[in-house]
Amino acid sequence: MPGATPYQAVEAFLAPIERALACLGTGKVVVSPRGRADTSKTHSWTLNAGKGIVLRGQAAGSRFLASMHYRIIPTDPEKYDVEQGRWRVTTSAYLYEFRAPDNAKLWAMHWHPAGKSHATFPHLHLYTVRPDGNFVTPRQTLESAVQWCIEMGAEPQNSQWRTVLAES
Amino acid sequence: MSIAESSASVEVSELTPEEATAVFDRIVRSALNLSGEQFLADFDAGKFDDVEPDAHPGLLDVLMALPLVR
Repeated sequence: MPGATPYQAVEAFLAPIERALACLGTGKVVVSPRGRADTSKTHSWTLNAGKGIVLRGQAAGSRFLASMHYRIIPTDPEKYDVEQGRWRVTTSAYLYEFRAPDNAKLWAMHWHPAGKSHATFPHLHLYTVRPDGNFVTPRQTLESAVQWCIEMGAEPQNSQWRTVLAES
Repeated sequence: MSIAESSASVEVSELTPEEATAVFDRIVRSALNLSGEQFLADFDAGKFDDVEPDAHPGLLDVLMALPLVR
């Protein structure tokens, strides 16, 4: 999602995230300071400041947690059309987790390539199947994680949720 | 599957540095039972250098929140 300015690039990056999360409920995407302006550092957004969103329906009381790391970068003219925007946003880590009402993690999609982790690749935790390990995956989208929540019983808060997630 | 006819919405809130410090402190206390300040001191001293985030409950939550204060 390009933008003419860093601010516009981040707004374009966050807009589909807001739409996808609204399929689960009301909340806030909390962005780190100067997270729509500062191109010199890694930023983060977290859903409801780390508290996640409480799900409804058959999954009532369960929570969905989500956060990402991202950077605002100049558009690479060899890869993209600079005319569409001089700035882009690139994701550098993500965490999407489904937690039961007792806060137990049921599944988690992780990608945290920086640091000392052995799992620098995108991976999936299925805690009841493999408590101490993970499964290698391609990079997962927030939209797929939201869909998993709905398939786990979360009541969609938008009758057009399939369309919203497909278009995000 | 029931579908709610609600007006659910998600908005963006960009934190001030002071707000971000407070949010980070809350996340660290909840995840690791440390203050945010203590975690940063331990982190800078290398205490978590050899810790696998996936194997240390709460650590990944804190690492994901680190850009709030760094």
